[in-house]
Amino acid sequence: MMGLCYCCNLVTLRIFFLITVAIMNFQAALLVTLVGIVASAPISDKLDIMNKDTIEQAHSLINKILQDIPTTHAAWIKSKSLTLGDSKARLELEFLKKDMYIPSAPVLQLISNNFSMETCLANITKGLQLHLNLLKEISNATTLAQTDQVKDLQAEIYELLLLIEELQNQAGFDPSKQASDEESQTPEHDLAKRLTNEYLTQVAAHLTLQQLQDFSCDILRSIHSMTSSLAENPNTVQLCVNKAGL
Amino acid sequence: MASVWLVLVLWIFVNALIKVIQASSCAQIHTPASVVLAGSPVSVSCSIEDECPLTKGKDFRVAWKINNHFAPSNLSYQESNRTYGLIIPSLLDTDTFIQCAVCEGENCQIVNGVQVKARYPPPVPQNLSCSLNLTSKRFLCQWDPGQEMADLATKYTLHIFSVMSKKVLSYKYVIPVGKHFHLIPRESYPLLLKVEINVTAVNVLGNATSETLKLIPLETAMFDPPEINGIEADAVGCLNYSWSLGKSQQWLTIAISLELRLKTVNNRQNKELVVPFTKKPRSKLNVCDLFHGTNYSTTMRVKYSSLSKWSEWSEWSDPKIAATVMKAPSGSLDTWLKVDDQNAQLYWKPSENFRANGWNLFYTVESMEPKKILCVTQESHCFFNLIERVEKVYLRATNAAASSNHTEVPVYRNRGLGSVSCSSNVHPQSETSVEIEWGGTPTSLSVTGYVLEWRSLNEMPAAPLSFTLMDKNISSTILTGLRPYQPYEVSIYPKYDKGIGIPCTLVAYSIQKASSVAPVLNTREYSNERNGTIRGKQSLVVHQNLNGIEMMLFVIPACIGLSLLVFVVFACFGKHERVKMCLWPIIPDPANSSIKRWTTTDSMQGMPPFKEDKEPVLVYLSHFSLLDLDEKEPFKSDYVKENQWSHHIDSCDESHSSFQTCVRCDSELDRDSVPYATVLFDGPYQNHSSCPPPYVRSESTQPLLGADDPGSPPPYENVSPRGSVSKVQRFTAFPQNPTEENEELWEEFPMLRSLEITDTDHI
Repeated sequence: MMGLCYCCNLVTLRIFFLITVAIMNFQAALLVTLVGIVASAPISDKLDIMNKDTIEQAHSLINKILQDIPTTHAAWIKSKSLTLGDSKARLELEFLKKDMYIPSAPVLQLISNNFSMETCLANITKGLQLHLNLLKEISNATTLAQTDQVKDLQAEIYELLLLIEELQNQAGFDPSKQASDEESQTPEHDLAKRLTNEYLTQVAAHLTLQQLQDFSCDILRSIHSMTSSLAENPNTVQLCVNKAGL
Repeated sequence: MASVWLVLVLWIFVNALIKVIQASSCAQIHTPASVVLAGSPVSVSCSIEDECPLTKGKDFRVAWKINNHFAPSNLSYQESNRTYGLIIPSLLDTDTFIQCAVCEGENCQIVNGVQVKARYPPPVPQNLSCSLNLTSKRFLCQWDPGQEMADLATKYTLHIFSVMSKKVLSYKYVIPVGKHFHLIPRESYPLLLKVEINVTAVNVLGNATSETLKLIPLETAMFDPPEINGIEADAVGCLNYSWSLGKSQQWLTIAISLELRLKTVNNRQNKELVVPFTKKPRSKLNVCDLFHGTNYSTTMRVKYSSLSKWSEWSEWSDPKIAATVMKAPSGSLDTWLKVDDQNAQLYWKPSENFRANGWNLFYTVESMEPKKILCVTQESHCFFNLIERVEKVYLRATNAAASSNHTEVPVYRNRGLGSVSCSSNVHPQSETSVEIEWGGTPTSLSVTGYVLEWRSLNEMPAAPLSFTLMDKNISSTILTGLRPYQPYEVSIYPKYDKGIGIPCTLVAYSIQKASSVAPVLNTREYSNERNGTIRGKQSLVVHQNLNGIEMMLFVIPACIGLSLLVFVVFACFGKHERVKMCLWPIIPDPANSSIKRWTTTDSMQGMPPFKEDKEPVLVYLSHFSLLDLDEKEPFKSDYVKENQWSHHIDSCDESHSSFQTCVRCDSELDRDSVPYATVLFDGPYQNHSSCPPPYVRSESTQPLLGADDPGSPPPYENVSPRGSVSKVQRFTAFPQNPTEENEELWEEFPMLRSLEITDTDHI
């Protein structure tokens, strides 16, 4: 009798143990699943983490940069043969662009599984820093006088850079990691050696502003994709639509 | 050799110079700082030189003077053999002169001194403010430095500091002396990120830092006026606005503060509405609770944030006008129906809650039994015929959208009810208002209210009637909108359940003045041009006296006319010689005339004839004295006393051809006249022969006319008109050729002509 009870108790315990294991496995599985879900959280969750005011400020600044690029170009570059949006000139200047080692801007795609938010923000930061350096190099060239508009544009690019870095911090990305990759290669610092006359300096300034305009449209598109509640500025949207049409 | 001598001379010179310098400096004085914090201790040391003549071989002491007063001895001490110190525990004076003196006995000589200033650290910069100009991108910060100390340099530094993305951005700018503002460069400030700004002031005694501003540069900017792009009216009476910022700020997408201001246009109920919002640009704005069918003029303005004390409103935008949708008129109409037999007069006006809710408002008066439209009008009254059996009429308002509900107007034909007490009082309140009071009605009848109606009596055609409905408890009211000096007929009707009572009617003026029309002197009714209530008539006899002003208005023109007449008369007749004689005789100009001409007839023209009205008064200017030597003692001197000789000769004797003299001397006349000459005769002058008598020159007080002969003067000769005189200008002998010489003499001396002696002439 005693033995029977003992056996029964053991069986009961085993059953309880198995049930417990099963339950624990389920919880563990649930935990793992949840972690997995979180780890591969879609953009909407990242956006929920990021401060909407910061996004709105970044949106305002990219609008301002796009608005100021044409006025800066007009005040800085006097050559009438260098016009923003001139597709024919763009093709003809490809050689000089490579010859002067003007780096291309990073590619920005719509945020998707293949192009994460982190990559997007990192590329924006990289591109902004690139153009900031290019403008600085060209401004230091004595062959072309700098204007106040160039200083304003540089200040706006820098402020946008700070805002994107702030968004990266808010989203939990590490902007310093991206920066370390960039410091190893700074071909824009060699640009100054190639600005041997005023014409080449104007070409370099034109190509930089042209590229910055294209890149800024990409940034605007990326920011719009971050949230649909952003009110679009028809002027800048139209500008970027025209460019996309080209 | 020469160089050696040169060096030696130089050495001697320098040594002597040093000795001279040393001899003039008796003491060195030292203090750590010439400017110290007010209230802090000050120490000064005075080192007496060994070669100081004031101390060499003398028993001296060192004394300190502070601002010319000897310092207490407890403040001074001796540091070493020849070094003396002074400690002032607390220096408060702004400028203190501390002097070191060497004293021998009571005689003190100051050997050196130092000025020490007590100052304060700089005051804290106040009222730091910054503002951003979006057009020029200038970010200007300025502050109030407070009371600066002119002799203490103060350096200002502006700091701007921001933290973003774990990066610290810090800039500082040293402000030029005298400036209390700074333009922060564009690269040093962000537009949308928060910064901290302060100003520090530093001088040798310390520093002070202003309040730290924490702001977003963009919030200090004044935006351009926004634009209203479109307005839509929805069915519920709201207006929806689409808008945008000014062109240069259209890049901004963050939410900002804005205000919409709506004003009704051409509306009876003028209303202004200000609605605040906080919205992102290009978002829709919705304003409700508006009047239907009403035009609204809308403007708007923006600023960064209503919560920011730095933000400033932009200018108002250009106005845009839009109308809300119409709907049927709502609310009630006050009505007043007066029925006289079959003649009905219906008056109405909107009550407080009436809303037209549209335009093109018109009114319809109709009856239901029989169904008939009695009147359609846009006015506020209507006259129509009303048959007996109509007990109610209905009034409704219609606009372009729809009609209002009917307002029921009962028809009261019973007028035999109670009346209002006519002990009404009229109290003018102003030029356009008057208070009307009325008495109660018999208590047996229950008044449901009163109707006060009034109209102007002076307007032709008859003015429209105005009315107001009043509660039964009211016994007075103030009518406004009256024209001064105009009579208004005011009637107060009591209202009862079943009808209207008998009114009390009176005439009221808001303000009265004297009648502009005099009454006719017969007892007829006079017109309404009385401007007030005629309280009585008076007949007066009024004398038409010219008052002072009328007198002046008559006299002055009369005088001017008379003067003109006189002037014309003289102008016409003034050239007549007789008139000229009378009015302005020609007075010869002595400077431009000669005696000769005076004697000619021509020169006498224009002169009025001299008329002697009375006998000429002889004035004896001078007299001759005739002295007969035979009768008197020969005088021994030339001087002849005039008063010894007085001859009175009444007539001239023509027999004395050689000497014709008529002299009249009168003892009485002697006193006035002056002795001219004394003629001495050696014999009785009556017996003079034709020979020129000898005579002796006499003393004369009268100057003779150019006596050439220094000897005795020639005898006096009385020149006759027929005789001639010699050319010598003096008394002379008988004329040789009377006529020619006379004429010559008259030409030269025309005045002498008057001295011609005739038989009847008097001298």
